[in-house]
Amino acid sequence: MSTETVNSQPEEPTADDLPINTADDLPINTADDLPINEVLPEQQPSPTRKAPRRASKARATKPRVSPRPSDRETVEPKPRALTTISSVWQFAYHRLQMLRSSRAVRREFIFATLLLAVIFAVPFVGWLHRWMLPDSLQSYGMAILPLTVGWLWLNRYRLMLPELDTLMKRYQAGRIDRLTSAEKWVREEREYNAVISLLKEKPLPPKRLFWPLLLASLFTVIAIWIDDPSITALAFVFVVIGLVGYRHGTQALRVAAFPLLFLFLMVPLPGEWLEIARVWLNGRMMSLVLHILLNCGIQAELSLEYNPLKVLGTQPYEMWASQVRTGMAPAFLFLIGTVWYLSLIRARFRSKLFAVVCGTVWIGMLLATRLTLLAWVGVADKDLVTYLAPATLYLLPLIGALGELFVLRGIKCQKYQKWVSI
Amino acid sequence: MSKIPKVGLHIIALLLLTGLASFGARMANHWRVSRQEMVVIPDHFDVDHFRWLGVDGPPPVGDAERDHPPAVNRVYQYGTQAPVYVSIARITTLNALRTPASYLMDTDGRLLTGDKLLIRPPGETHTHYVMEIAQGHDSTILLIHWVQVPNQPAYADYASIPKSVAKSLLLHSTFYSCDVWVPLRSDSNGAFIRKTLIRFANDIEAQIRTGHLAVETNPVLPSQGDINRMPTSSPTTVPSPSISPMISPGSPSPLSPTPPGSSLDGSGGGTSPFSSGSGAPGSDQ
Repeated sequence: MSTETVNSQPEEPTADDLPINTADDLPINTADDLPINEVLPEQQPSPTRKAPRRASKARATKPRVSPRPSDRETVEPKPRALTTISSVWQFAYHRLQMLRSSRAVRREFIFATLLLAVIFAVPFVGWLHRWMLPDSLQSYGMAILPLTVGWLWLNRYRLMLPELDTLMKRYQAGRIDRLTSAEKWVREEREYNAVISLLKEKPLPPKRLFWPLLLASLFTVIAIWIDDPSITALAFVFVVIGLVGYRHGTQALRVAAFPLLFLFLMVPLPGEWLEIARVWLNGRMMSLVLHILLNCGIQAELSLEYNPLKVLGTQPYEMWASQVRTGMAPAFLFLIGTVWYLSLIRARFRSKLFAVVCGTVWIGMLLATRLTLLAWVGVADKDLVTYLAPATLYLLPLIGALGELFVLRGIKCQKYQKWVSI
Repeated sequence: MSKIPKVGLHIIALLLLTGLASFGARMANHWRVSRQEMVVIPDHFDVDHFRWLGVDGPPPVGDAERDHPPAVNRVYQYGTQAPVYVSIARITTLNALRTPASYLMDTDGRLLTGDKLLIRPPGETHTHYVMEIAQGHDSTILLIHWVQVPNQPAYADYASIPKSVAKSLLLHSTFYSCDVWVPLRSDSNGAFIRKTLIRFANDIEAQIRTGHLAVETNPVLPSQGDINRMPTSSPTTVPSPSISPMISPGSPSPLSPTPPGSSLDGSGGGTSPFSSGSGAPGSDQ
């Protein structure tokens, strides 16, 4: 089967002209009847356009550009005929365009999303109440869904190619974090081989997991009968995982492991557990502040229950943990955001772990400093504390993020993962 | 005309079925819960011939902490005494079983360490109520808490009846979390408050256990003479609502129990409502 189109022929290429997998063969994100073999209108070969080169020729002459965040604008191609594709990036882009242009896929996505929204609309209100409880440690729960959707969007091209890992393994391309120029060339060569396989070979159908989805659906019914926010949120996460596993198969589950696991953070924990954690954390923080105050020569006492902290002076000031907010909720939000951001960064695991530990220490220092300052100001002017406490609370994640970026810069964790597309 | 692929149709069909089944489950849940009648508590309680008159009251300050359960909230008043609050909530979620300090008080609310009294009626094998002092940044309260299944005796701790808890959470059978509390003031009489709270608790417990309103015996409307006889103040029984004992670094852990009868206000001269007076039937700690 020839891969060339004829210059003098104005006719559009038929499906038989293109030596690629059909829609049924595609393991992910393409409807069974997706017109994958069609050439998009704007990319139809015109009589004046040059015929696409053969794959081997293209390999020899055309520089195979591996997408990088820096040169994304130049690399990201216009939708083109599949025969001109010479990199995995271009193939992923092509698949995404096919998905976007497929009315069937859009319709399926809209129906499924609407049904999910209808099923979980009422429980969502319960989750929202739990996340928005005053001084709740889990106020970060509201950010989980947007962060997950953001992650999926940033990694959309990688999600188009869930079978890439398998193909790369076939060409013995392991994961190499820091590549030399020679290794980069070798990797690109392997990627090139992988994309040729994608174009020429009929991929195995995805291994769909039906039972997890079925069990998740049954669990959803039980959860809604029980009507506890923690259980319904758990059911929601299970259903989403089940949908990905059934619609796109196990390879897609592996690729989307991080956002799917990240979703578990939105599950509202039972109040009693959070209360224990909050009391313990507040106690440690108040105790730390007491020691700082005493070392600074400011007389202070702590109640038997570690709350309130009483600063002695001409006008004694009682600092209650929840009244001034110890800042645990913003601190957790900062840490969750750090983990999310690090998942987009290309670095070794130990570097990321170091960054998380540094972030924890840094935000802890910020919390202690803030409370110490509030206690010190409270002795002089209690009213001022009522203004300063909320104002400084919302500055915590911002200052924390700035410090964390500095840490990441110090350990050279600044480059995004290859497939992250901003 | 593009068609939705087969696998997509499977998903939509399954979600549709799940949605219908979930809707049915929700309706069944509402129907089952709506059939359960809330306990009816008396409009008044008579304690030592003093009649406490009740009106509907607001839910506890931190009701959101227990997911706003369906509840009967009443406030009982007598003369110039501090009002007695009653909240009987039906347990619908796990959060409704939280410790009372988390929903009766503000966000700084916590139980004072070591101040806990388990109340067991004579002849019973289990404790019926737990009496505690909770403190927030605005107030201090003395409370009695218990959980109870209709037609069953009260239990101080829900962990004593795990089957009933599981039935209430999974099958939505009726299960009550009950609280009776009084804000402590500087002129509060500990013995009188304790006696009043226990009387309230006994009557409500009997009400839930038998399903009938407590039998009234010689109700007496308060007269001026009665009011004058009320123990309005006692200089020796007041836990200060402002502050609990302070510790400095190096002091024993707050988790270690404080000696029984220790001062609550740090003055060293006062006694807690638990240690003043008498009358708690079969109290043990």
